[in-house]
Amino acid sequence: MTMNPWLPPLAYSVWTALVLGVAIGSARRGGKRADRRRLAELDLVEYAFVSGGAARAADVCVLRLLGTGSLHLSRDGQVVAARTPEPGAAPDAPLRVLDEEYGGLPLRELRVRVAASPEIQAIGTALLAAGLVARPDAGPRRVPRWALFATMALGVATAVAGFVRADDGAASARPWVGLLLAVIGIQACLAGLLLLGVFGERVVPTAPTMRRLIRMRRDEAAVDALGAGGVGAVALWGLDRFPDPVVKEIFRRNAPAPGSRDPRSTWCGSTSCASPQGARAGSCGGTADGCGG
Amino acid sequence: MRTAVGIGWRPEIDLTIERLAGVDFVEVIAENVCVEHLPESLRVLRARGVQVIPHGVGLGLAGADRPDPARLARLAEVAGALESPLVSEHLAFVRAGGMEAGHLLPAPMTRDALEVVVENVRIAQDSLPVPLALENPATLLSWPGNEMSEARFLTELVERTGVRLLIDVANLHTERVNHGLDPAAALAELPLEAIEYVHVAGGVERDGLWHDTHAHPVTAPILEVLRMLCALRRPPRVLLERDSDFPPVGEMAAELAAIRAVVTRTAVRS
Repeated sequence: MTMNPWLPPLAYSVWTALVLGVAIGSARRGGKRADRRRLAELDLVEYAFVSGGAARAADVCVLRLLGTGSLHLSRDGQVVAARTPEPGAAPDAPLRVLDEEYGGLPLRELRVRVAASPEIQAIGTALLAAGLVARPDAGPRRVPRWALFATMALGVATAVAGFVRADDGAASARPWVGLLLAVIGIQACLAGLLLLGVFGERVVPTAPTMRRLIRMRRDEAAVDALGAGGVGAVALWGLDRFPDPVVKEIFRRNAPAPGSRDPRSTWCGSTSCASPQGARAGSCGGTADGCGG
Repeated sequence: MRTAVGIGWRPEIDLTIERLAGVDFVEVIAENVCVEHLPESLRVLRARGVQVIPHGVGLGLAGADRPDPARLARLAEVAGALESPLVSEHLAFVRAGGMEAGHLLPAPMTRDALEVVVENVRIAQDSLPVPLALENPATLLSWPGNEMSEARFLTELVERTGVRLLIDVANLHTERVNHGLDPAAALAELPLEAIEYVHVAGGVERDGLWHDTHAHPVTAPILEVLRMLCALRRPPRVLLERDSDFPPVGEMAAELAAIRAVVTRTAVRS
């Protein structure tokens, strides 16, 4: 019985794909295993962070305080604290930020400053330590998006060329060249696809977290329990899901300007904070037309 | 007669006020409203049928100068744009000799001063499309040589000009703490039928002086003055003033409820 000549390269491709997946996943988690117990204990702001990064976590903090009446939001987008935090108490990040200002802050600035606040940034660090989100400074993040697309295009071309070459393999002096090219091409495509998920500055949930998010998103009661007044839905999907059209519109009009990321922050939005899309999609569920409805 | 309960509209809490239950009317600082760009929140409130009363702070009707026609025209314009049933101002002077005080300063309670104020009020009334109501101010000091009480001054002003009254019960409490005024006696002397609305506001006592801050909770003694007033005559409107250090929505609603309770309970008894 003769072995199919395609079997070794195919088996090798599958094996390398698995190794690549595990290696990249591990790199994204900073070499840590996902802490399943911690995953089951995520709170509202942490869910917002794993779903939409620091920007969405900041929005959820602000919306939650608006819901409890602890903040006043004007139609012009000015935010004032309803009460100065008690001395010695640990206030929410928006209240602490507002306490540093006289007369409140524009919502746009508050969103940027809360996202960059130690409270929100610490959530990212804690989630990374628990292996629940990808490292913000992982090597693949420095690879530009165009390079990944170019790699995939080259990979496809190489694989096709390899298959063509392998087809004529018998007549060739080096029959293994075609197979090698096919394997290299397939691997390049796989690596490109896997790395696309972590390019830029996105906060990317790791696989166990993503599975948890998917389960949460299917459970309406759990979403309601996560945060009252639609805040739970905002945490998981973005501002598009906020039921109050007036507040939603105020948030849309006061989206952080492109490039307004606080340089001190490590963790950012679900997409790049420095991109126009990131400014909106970071908290709006990734819609192209912002949060308006 | 049902007493309407309202709150001072401030830009920082416009959305909060829109969503606050039990707000029958609002008052805006007239100088802060631009007729060409009416705040969206005021348009929303107006569309809902909520009355908006412009409250001036810059006419200086108790000053020696005649009221500025441009300021009067602007006040009239604001009242027109907001379809207001009346406008209000203070029995105070705010400038003299071309200098702005930046405060609402008390008028001397003298016959001469009364003549000046009567004339100023008449000029203002002629320029305004709606009735004018004058408010008793809160003062930290009073003039020497006053010839009459503030209540007497306001009564004569009402009799001679037909001006309406905005009685601030917190200011009566301020006068009680700072000048030993008896609010009950003052209320008994005032022409209560001229009252268009009542102000209620919080303040704080420091070093024996009451500061009408509009940034502290309304205290029981102030609500007690409101109760005294309501026992004599139920006012058409009562308004809560809050200018800064805005409390949570729940506390604001509770203060409005407390005001409403005083008005309702007192009216039932009286």
